[in-house]
Amino acid sequence: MLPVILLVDDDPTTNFLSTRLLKRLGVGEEIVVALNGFEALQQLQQRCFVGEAVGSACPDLVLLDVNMPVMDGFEFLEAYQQLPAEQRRNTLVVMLTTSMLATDRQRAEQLPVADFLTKPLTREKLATVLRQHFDIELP
Amino acid sequence: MPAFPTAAAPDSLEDDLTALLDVSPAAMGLLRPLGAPEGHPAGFTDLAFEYLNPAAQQILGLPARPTETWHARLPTTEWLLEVCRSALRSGQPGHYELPPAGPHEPGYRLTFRPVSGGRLLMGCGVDEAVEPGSLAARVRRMAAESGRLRQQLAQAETAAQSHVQERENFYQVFEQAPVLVALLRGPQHTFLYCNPAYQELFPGRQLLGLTYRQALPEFVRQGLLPELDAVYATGRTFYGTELPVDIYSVVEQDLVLRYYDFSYQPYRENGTIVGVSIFAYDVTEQVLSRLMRAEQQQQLLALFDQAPVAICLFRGPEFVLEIVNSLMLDILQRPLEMLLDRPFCEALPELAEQGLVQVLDEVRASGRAYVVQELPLRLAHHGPDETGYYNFVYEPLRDEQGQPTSIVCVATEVTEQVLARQQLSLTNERLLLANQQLTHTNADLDNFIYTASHDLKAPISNIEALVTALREDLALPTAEADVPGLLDLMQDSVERFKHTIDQLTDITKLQKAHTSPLTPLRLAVLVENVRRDLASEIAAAGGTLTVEVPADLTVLFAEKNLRSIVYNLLSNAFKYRHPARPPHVVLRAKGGSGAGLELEVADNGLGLTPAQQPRVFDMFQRLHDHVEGSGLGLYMVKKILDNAGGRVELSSEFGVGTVFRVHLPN
Repeated sequence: MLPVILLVDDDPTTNFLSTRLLKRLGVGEEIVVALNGFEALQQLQQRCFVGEAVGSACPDLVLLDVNMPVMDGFEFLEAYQQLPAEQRRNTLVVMLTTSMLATDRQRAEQLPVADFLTKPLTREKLATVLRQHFDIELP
Repeated sequence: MPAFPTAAAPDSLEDDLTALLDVSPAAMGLLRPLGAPEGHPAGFTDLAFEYLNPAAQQILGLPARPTETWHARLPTTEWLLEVCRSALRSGQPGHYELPPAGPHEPGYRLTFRPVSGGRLLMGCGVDEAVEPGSLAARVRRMAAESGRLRQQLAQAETAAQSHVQERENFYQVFEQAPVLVALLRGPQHTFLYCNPAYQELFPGRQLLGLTYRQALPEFVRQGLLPELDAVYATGRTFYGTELPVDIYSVVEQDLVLRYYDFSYQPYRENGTIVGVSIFAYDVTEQVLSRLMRAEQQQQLLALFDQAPVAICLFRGPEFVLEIVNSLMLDILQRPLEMLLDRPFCEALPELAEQGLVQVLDEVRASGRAYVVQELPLRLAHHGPDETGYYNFVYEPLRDEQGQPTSIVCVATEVTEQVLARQQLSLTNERLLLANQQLTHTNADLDNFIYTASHDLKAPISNIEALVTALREDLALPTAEADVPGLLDLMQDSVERFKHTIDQLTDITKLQKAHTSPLTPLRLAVLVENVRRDLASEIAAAGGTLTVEVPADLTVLFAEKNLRSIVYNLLSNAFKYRHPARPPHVVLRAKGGSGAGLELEVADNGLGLTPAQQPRVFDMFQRLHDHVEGSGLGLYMVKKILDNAGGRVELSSEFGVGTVFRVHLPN
């Protein structure tokens, strides 16, 4: 299972449902919530510092929404891209959105995004991501 | 008394002929070539006047037998001498017409006929057809001078008796004259004499000794006999013009129609009328020529009339309308009689007022054509808001010396085309505008659909996941399940869905808001009302609102919309306050009453980063996440101003504050 998962969404209901599903499936040992891109960036900077302790608290998976106040999903990815590669090495970003325009998708493909999921997050969608990117099979 | 060398001329007749010659209204004279080689009279260098009858003396201002030659008396008339040479060469009479020199001047018809001895008989007729009054006046003057004429006649008789050759000349003058001469005697008008030219009119017919009625019944039928009777009875000369006569032509071998001008003059003996003399001139060529000119003129007018363009002709410095064709009448829409022979200013006063006389003056002065396309003009038949459009040319016409005499106008009306093009242009402009609005609306709609679908999908996807969670929890033991919590979340999602639907309804209303009626609004009053609505929020935040609006500032705007602008700007200013300080907001305004309005709302709140500023007016944008907001307020402010032709701008510094500036159009 994954030690740390970061949920980035301004909607509390979405965060509640995603947390509940991850816990019920026992996918994440620690589930961290950020309400916008700015908070998420702060979490990553605190948790993924360079040194001997790298990786202990750094999220393995980030589930990222697009439309958020203060800093949206794209702005977050553009800022995240600027972080040193060592800090991003163990982290995988998957976008979790309600809907996405073709132009948004093209924009995202230029950024460090591993996969795209449509809300709501379900057992099947999560299972696919884990199988493809972490080689983990849900029981 | 010597006799004339002919049996047909008894002494009494000779006297009559002499008298006739001397009272002849036709100027006649005998001309003798000078300086001509032997046997070639046409090679003359000058002409001597051998004899001139009184009429000829008068028109030439010379005595009966002048010593002055032709060249001395009539210098620079070589063209007339050419007519004489031609007559001498061909043996045929030569004619020359002198047209009238002015409106009260008679014209002259000169005839030169070769006679015996290489000489020329000159006859000169006055053009009665051109100006009847002048010849009559001249004849009256001659009558007044009759005493002097009789004296001259006596002198001529004396001279004739002493110069047989000259008498012969007089007789020859009548016998060979190109003028038709006859002498009638008595109340029945018995033919006493007629010269060969007269007799030629009635070949083979006996005239002498017969009365006019017996000899010329066809003329009696033409009503000429009463005129003869009148001359005989009253002594007043009668002039006839262009009398048509069918005569037998030896050349044509048939009857041909000829025209004659003629006079019936009383002939007196001892002051008593004893007869009537007839003088006639052949004016056929002149009549035919005039008829031909008239026909050509008619053909030209017909051609003008059938032309596919409007034509008219202006003559002289007053631009008198001489020709106006049908299409021009169609354009001007007034009857021909109101235009023809009238000066431009009188016939077309409305066009004169619009500067066309100056244009005509310029064309006349410069001799250059004036060409214009689609000139707007108002004609008399146009309504107050109506204008016609015309393409036309003013082309100067010149005489043989190159002097401009008249101006021809060729015009076409293009009003329909111009109006159609203007209409098309207007339609295109409207279409372009509509297209721009449509493009704008389409972009709005795309944004709207995306945003709407996103904001509607979000609660739906939550409900979908919550339903799944609820099913799971319902299968669990009661202690482990959180059914009420899940139901609350479902209720929240439903509320959020409804809220989004309400917002979309607001936006739909906003799309129609620009049709709201405009009313004059006192801005200070409107701001005060909004301040009251926001009073509790301002108080809760511990903030202050300073309003700097002139009390009399009035704005013409839809009240609901202006209220929405002020409310949203003030509400946001307090809502997005900085946590470290109490909000202080200032609202200022200036302008109004036709000058446009400048409205400014400045706060000391959170401020916006440069990246956030461009998105601030987008639909459903909430840039700060710690306060409730629909994300629609500033979108609606911008939309209202866009619809009204105004604009909103902002300047902001993150962490310091924001200033919104609204410009309302005049």
